[in-house]
Amino acid sequence: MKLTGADILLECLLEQNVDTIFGYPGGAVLFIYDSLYAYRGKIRHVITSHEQHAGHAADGYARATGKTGVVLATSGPGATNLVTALATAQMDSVPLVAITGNVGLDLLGLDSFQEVDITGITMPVTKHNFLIRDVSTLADAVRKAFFIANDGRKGAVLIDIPKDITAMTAEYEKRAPLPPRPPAISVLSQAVELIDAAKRPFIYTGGGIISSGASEELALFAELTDSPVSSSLMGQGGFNQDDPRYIGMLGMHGTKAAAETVKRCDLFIALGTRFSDRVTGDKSVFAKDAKILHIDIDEVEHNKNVPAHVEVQGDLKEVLSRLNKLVKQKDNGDWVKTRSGFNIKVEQEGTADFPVTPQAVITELCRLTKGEAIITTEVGQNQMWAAQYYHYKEPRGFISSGGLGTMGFGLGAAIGAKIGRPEKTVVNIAGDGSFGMNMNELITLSKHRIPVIQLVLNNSVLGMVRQWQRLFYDKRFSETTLDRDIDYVKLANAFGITGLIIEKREHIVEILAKALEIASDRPVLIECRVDRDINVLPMVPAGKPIIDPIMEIEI
Amino acid sequence: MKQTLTLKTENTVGVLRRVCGVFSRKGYNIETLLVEPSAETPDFSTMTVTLFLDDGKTFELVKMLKRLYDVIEVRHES
Repeated sequence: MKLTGADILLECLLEQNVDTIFGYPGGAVLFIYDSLYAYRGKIRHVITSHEQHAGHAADGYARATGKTGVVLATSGPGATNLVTALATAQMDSVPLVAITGNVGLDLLGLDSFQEVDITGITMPVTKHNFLIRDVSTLADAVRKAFFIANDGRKGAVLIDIPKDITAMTAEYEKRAPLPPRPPAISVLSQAVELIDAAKRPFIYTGGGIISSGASEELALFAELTDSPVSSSLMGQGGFNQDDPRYIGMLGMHGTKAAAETVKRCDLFIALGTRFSDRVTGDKSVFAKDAKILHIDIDEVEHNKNVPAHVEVQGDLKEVLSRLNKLVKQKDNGDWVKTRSGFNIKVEQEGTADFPVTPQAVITELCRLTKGEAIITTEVGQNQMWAAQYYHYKEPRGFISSGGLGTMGFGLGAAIGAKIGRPEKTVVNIAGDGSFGMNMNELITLSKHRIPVIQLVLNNSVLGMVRQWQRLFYDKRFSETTLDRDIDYVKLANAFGITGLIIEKREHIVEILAKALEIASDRPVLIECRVDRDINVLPMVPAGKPIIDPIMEIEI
Repeated sequence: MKQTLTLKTENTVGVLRRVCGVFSRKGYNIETLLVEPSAETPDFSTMTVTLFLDDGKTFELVKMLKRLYDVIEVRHES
């Protein structure tokens, strides 16, 4: 049948089982929005306050559900506002399809109103992008976009559609989604030899565990190899953190136990991870005494940051299930037992003025929600505390911008996560700095009555930058002292959202419980006033060996 | 050392930019570049690129180029 470009686009979304998209209308997407009006029973469109946060919402939706996130924006500024969201998703290997309108074909390349070369701009932050110049190619481009977003290592794809294309007609025939390419898998014999020979193996997991859905296979693999397990920031929840094998996060703010295990292990098994500089610290001494087995779906990651003794390319779920049949059950004596004890963390007392600590609040939140909530984060201290003090039991419970480190990511991501998984409690753990970047999205929470808990850890400073200024810039707190004196309760109320304050230690449980109750059917904001000089510890200074973290910082 | 890469790519607008993006992202300067329609079909282009780079980095570069969806094949001679 003959359909308009706009209808073809929406039919192609339905082919991919898309039922929810995030976006913001504008001139170049008028025909698409006009079609959405007709398709509103089949596709839910969630309007945010800003395209960037629509992009983060689609990203959060994808991370929470495992499906592909979809965001729609207009040309020019609508499209450029998506750039940060695309880069965020791409860096964390999240399947995201962005659709932008553009000016009509005859206006392209003429600096027309709201025209921008968005395919040129987004080339470095997407896996691939399309500029549609012929309506008859639109359907296949959309199908290919979804295929590419999920092919191998997942990521972001953009489709730019000139306005007149969305009004032209072409023949459309419904098709099934393109079948995924069977992942290439290397021979596993060398990997099996390494594992069988190891006396002190150590499993380190990244976000790949979550994107490939390999948690069950990982749990069995840890048993069979009798290994302790650590995780990157992106891998949080890929392995049950209440399991005695789990020894905490690895990296700049990881546990001492994990760092010591890197030094003492004889086989470092890296699963679905890219050895970020935030994890390795000084690469020249990282896992120097161990053999490294690197398993990742993206061969570009092999030997990029850290050289491997054996590298395996493949989808983790498939590779691990094959390895689980090939490796012998190991017994490494008391190796795992001697590695435990990561719970001995640096506890920090509040001050007389600010008796409540972020660590205490997050610990209590974890207890009250049994470690089963979805936690989204902003970036900075809030993010690290959310990773350290909430114990994730399941994959897709921790949603955070790890690679790009996007302040302002969390609230949009929380919106997407809650819409994708309405049965889950969703809490965005934010600092007051990050909240300043996305507080306009309270409008979205309120308007769509999305029951997200926005937890603002308000220390009135840009805490992580302040921490670095204290340590490395002679305590010259240049431009990081915000002291904005915002009345967050009034702010929330202005949007029709309940605002609560935690000021005293004895109120933590009471207020959190109240917020959880409110969030059964509507959004709620909690402001938690905390001291500005609470630091994230342990801390390995950038580029330094991870074995020697700072455990205490003098104020 | 001098490396020669021969790429078979889609013959569409923007492919050269995408390919060159990989070189510039890594900070590698292209010495010579030839783009012509492929001998087998005008749907494809052949790009011949030479540059000075060590073997290890070239190996990584080839993997990065292969990751592009417009690039069908990469051959490498050093």
